[in-house]
Amino acid sequence: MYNYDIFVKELDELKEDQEMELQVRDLAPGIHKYAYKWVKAKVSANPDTYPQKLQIRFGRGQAYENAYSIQVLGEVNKFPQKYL
Amino acid sequence: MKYYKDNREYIAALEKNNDLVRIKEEIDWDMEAGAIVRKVCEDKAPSPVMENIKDYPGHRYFGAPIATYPRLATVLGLDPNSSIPEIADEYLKRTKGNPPAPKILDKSEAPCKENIITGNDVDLLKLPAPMVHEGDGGRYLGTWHFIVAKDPDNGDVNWGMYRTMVYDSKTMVGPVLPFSDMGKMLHGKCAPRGKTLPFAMVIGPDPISAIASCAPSSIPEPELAGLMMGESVELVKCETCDLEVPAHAEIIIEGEILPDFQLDEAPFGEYTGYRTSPREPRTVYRVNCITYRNDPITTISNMGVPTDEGQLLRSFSLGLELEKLLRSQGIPITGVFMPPESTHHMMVVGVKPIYSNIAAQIAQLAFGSKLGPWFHQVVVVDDSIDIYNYAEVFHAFTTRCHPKDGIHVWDGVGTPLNPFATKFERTWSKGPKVLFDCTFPVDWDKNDLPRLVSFKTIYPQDIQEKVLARWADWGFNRK
Repeated sequence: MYNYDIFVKELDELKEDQEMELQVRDLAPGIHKYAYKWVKAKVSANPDTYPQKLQIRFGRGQAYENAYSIQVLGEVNKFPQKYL
Repeated sequence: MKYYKDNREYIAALEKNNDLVRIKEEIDWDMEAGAIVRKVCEDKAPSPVMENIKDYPGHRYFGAPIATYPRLATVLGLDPNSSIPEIADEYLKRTKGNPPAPKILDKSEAPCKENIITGNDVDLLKLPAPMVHEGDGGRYLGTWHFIVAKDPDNGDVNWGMYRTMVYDSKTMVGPVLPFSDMGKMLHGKCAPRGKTLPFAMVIGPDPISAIASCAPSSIPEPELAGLMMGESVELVKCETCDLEVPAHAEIIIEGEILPDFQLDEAPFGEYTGYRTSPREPRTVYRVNCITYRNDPITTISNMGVPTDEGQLLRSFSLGLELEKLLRSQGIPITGVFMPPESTHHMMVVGVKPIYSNIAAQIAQLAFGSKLGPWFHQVVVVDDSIDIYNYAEVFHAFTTRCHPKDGIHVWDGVGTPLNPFATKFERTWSKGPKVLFDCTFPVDWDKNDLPRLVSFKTIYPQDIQEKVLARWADWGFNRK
């Protein structure tokens, strides 16, 4: 069961074990499923490195067969302040 | 003139026609509802009304609202078994004349104001946006809806179907192509000035207003809706901006389109039957008010392989608007038909070929018009061919179109959704165009023209009548 997913053009975009700003979708069941958020996180191609599971999807929605793991370190606001 | 004031009246009419299925068991908004609507489209099955949506008590779905010609006939007050030309005649009849100005209702008379949510209480995730297809970039609230916007300079109002994906509780995102009406307002006027563009999204509009919103007519959509209804369309003022929306719609989302900030949107199963356009930064809608009817009904169109309502209605109205254009130029056409299975990419034109290169003239007018970006194939046949008869058109295409002289290719404007287009063409809205001229050249000697060998063309009338008179008696089915 995945906790988050992310769309990428290529796997190389995900720098393993480095803190990155990523746009992920929350996959928790309920009405907030698939809502987007920007987070600071670390990811790994090893599904057991971090506590939560990350599904990778490519540009036309194809799911990558291997699970990644992710640790979300916090949310990041990307919205211009003037529109909040 | 018969019309349905809202989808509730229309649903009752479809039910009376045995063209509606009510599903009372719980349906998951996460792909299950989408799968039902997709199967309905592919099977041309009755419209589904889903009355029990997981996580969303009190909400309902209405799927594939106008995905078939019988449903379109019903919307226009015709017998559902009417032929395509009969439906086209009714559409043309209803779109002629002086359009009535919209009537503005008081808020107290407008069902869409039964519930009003503003400020911090606004939460798009409390609306049952379906996850339409597996692998989509998000949940799409805007699949069968329209967005109302007003030109900041001249006040012209536009209703247009621009798909919208829910990004978070207060944000939607979707493509607004620069050559679209709202694109010209946003990219041509608001963005250079750093101004937001107020919008109102109408979910669950009455079926005539929905048709008007996706018709490529020169008449402003609110007036066109009134013209097609035979009386003024009833609107009501928005809560937070200077726009009006159909008073009997199910859900209204108000807010502002941002001129200088984009978010990633897509992928999404599109009207071409593919997931083509890549995930890219696209236009952001910031929401500040939601109003809705009690027990609201969210409309779902599930785009994919033909036929859904986007393909059917766009093909239908694009074809008829192109017919008007060609007739206005005095071209002796017999008609224009866009097969919905072409996902409004192919325009079939019947014409009396009375002078040379008439097919090229037709194609150049069509591709050069405002409607040109939406299709790329023009097939011109002569007036002996029934343009609605796929077999006749295909036969003409394969036998009369000269492989060298009958095919003409031009550069033109295209959409990023064309599955065949290169990445460069998608990025820059370039679209190659092709004409298949399936008429015999007028400079050929009449005695050299190939003669069509069919029952109707090759036998004398008296022989045909003699055969037909005894046809059924011999045990054949009469057609």
